[in-house]
Order: sequence, then structure tokens, then C-alpha cells
Amino acid sequence: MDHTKCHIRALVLLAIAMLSLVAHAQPETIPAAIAKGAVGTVSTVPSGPTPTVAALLRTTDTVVIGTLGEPRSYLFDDQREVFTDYPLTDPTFIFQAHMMGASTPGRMPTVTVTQRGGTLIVNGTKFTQSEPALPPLQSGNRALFLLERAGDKYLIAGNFYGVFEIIDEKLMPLAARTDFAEEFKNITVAAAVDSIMTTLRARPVLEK
Amino acid sequence: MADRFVDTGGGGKWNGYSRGFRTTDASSCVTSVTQRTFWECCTSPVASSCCGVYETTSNGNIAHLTPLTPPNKVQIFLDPNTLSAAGTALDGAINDWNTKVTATGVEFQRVSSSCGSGPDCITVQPVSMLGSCGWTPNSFTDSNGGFVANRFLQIDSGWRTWSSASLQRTFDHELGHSLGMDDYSVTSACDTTGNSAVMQPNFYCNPTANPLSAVSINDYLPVNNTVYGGQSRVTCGF
Repeated sequence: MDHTKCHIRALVLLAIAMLSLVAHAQPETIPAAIAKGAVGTVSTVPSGPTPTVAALLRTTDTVVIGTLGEPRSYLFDDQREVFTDYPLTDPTFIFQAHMMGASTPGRMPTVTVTQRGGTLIVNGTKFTQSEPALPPLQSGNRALFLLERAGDKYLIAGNFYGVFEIIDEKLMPLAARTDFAEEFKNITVAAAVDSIMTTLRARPVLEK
Repeated sequence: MADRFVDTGGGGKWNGYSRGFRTTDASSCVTSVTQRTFWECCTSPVASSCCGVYETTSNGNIAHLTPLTPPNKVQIFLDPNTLSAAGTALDGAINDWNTKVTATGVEFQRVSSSCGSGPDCITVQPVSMLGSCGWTPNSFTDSNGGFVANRFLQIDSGWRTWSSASLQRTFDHELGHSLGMDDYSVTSACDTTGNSAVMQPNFYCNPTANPLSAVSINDYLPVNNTVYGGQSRVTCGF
């Protein structure tokens, strides 16, 4: 009996130690970090090769062209990240792996693009999560988006890469890495859509 | 070349100076060819793309580790159960930086158990990155740019297939971010190979890649002389 108790106690201690390890492996929550004096986070730009557009398209659920509306930044559910939502006005859907429903019957479907990072007030402190790999999107700008569905959100594919600004009907990637998607720079929207759809049609199944 | 200087904006006023180097004083420059990239911009006027750049916060300070009181060191937790094969490359990167930035007071140390939630703790994590090599996400900073909580150094989950040089370069590069350096330009007028500084992000990590895997003067001099040296970044040669 004592032997069993001893084993149980050892297991409990091990479990506590493992939980402690897991807890330490987690980033702080933003409110907890603010309590330590944090006013923001910095991230780096991923190093090494940039992803190919084909790689992004392997996990893309939605391809849409639209104009960015007014942003709204908020804490993610786990309070460890800031996200910013941009509703798209006048969206034109190029591709949808899953059909989106209209929020109101009879109306066209809408979509909200979610970008990592943003600025908001948390417990009275102005807090900024900076993501230099993709500077904050600008409302009013028109762009082509490659989006990945995550729960009820549509995140930019590859986190920082799936946005191409449209100026004079030509594309320009907005990712900070200037060596990303060279083949999509200054090509027409029509040519880009052709290329994207060719890749998507050749995709066997959505890798999700 | 003067028109190539673009103030990157929004950043770099630690000690009151703007981000990037700018010089009109060629006489103070080191003229060695090997030292002409990034940190010291000898030709005047100079292309900003040749200059070292700093990792700046939203309020314009350099994000950096605060030196610890000896013998305390910045600990890097590499899980011995899952990542031990990366130990040699991490040790190489740690030793490389440690020997070149002794003046800063920052010293790295690999540890095999979790190092806690303080700013002197970095945990190595493998994650899927769509072919990228490494990333240092979401480091909390205070109003002076000092890190205030534990941080994460992420490497792509395919790291086991990489050459040792690929892995060490990734560690070297990501540790450089902890010391205040940002990515150097990938379209530099001085160099586009990615082999002049470990802070150039355009390198490959794969079984056969052989990128620069030693911290160069273009990396450590800006750390020693500006991030921790408190000197001006608007004059050449510090």
C-alpha cells in the first residue's frame, strides 16, 4: 500500500513538474506582460527562403479581390496576440474552397481579412504588436488576397505573404521581404488570376 | 547614390538617432574592403542598403537584451529530449557571438531545462514555416526597448535534414536579433549573396547549403558600438 502511495505521489509530482515545464514554454499573456512593463512586442521577419506562391496556395481557402475597410484591432482569445480585422468592401471572389454564407439572406457574401499585429489599449496601456514582415494594411487600398480559414477567421496565407496590392490593375506583393514572389510583381490582375487558378486546379486536395 | 538613402522611418531613435547609418564624413571610415558592407558605409554619400539596421520597437527604440550581472548569463533552453541533435550548431552560434560581443556584457549559455519566464530566457522551438529557416516572434519590450519576458527562437521543423552550416547560420541569425540587429537588405547594392553578414536573411537551409555561418564584423561591430556602445549611428566609423 505504501509502495502504491509512493508511486502515486511520484506521478503527481511528475505531472506538476511537467505542467510547470509546459507553463514556462508558453509566452506570457499580453496583460501579464503589460504588468511587467511591456508596451509592445517586436517580431522578426522569417529568415531563409521566402515561400513560393504555389506553397501558399496549398493552404489557401479563399482568393478574393477587394478594398480594405476600416480596421479593428483586438486581443486574440488566448490574450497572447493582437489581431486586426479589415472588412473587404466590394469583394470579388476568385476562388472559395468552402462557400461563405451571406450575413443577411439575399445579400452577397462578405469577408473580413485578419492580419497579425496591431495597436490597442489594454488595461489603460497603449500596446502595439509589430509584425514587420507585413506592415499594417491601409484602409482604402485595393488588393488581391490569399486567405486561410482558421476557425471563423480568414488569415492572410503564410501569415505575411498572401497580400498583393493592386495599382493600375497591376499587382505588387506587400510582404516586407522584397525577394518574395518576383514573378507576381507588376503583372496584370488577369494574368495573376490565371496563374493562381492554374495552380489551384492542379492542387489535389486542400492540405488542412 | 545619394538618392538611395531612404530613412526607414518609424524607428531607431535609441539615444536620439535615426534608424540606419548615414555619413558625409568619409575620412572616419575604415577602408578595408571586407569592412565596407553594412556597418560602415565608406563611400559618401552612401546607399542605405549597405548599412546595418536595427530591430526597432513601435516607439523607435532598439529591441535588446539587458546585460546581466555576472556570472548570470542569458539562457537558451534546447530540449535535450527532442532537439539534442541541434546542440552542436547552437553551441557554435553561442560561442561565436559570445567571443565577439564580450564588451556588451551579454553572454549566452545553453541549458537543458526550462529557463523560466524572465527576459534572460530563450526557448528553441521547432515549427512549420513554409520553407523559411528561423523566426523570433512576439518579443515583449518595455518603453526603452528592453525585453521584459521569456522569448522563443523558432526553427523550421525540417531542421534535422539541414546541413550543419544551415542550422548554425539560423541560430546565429536569430541570436543576432536578440542583440538588437534587424535583417540587412536582401537587395543590397554592396552584396546580394547573403554571405557578408549572418544578419542577411537571404540564405538557404537545406541538406547541401553552405551559407556563411560565422558572425562577421558587419554583424558584431554595430552590436558592440551602437546597440550596447551608446554611440551615434549617424556618423561613419562610430
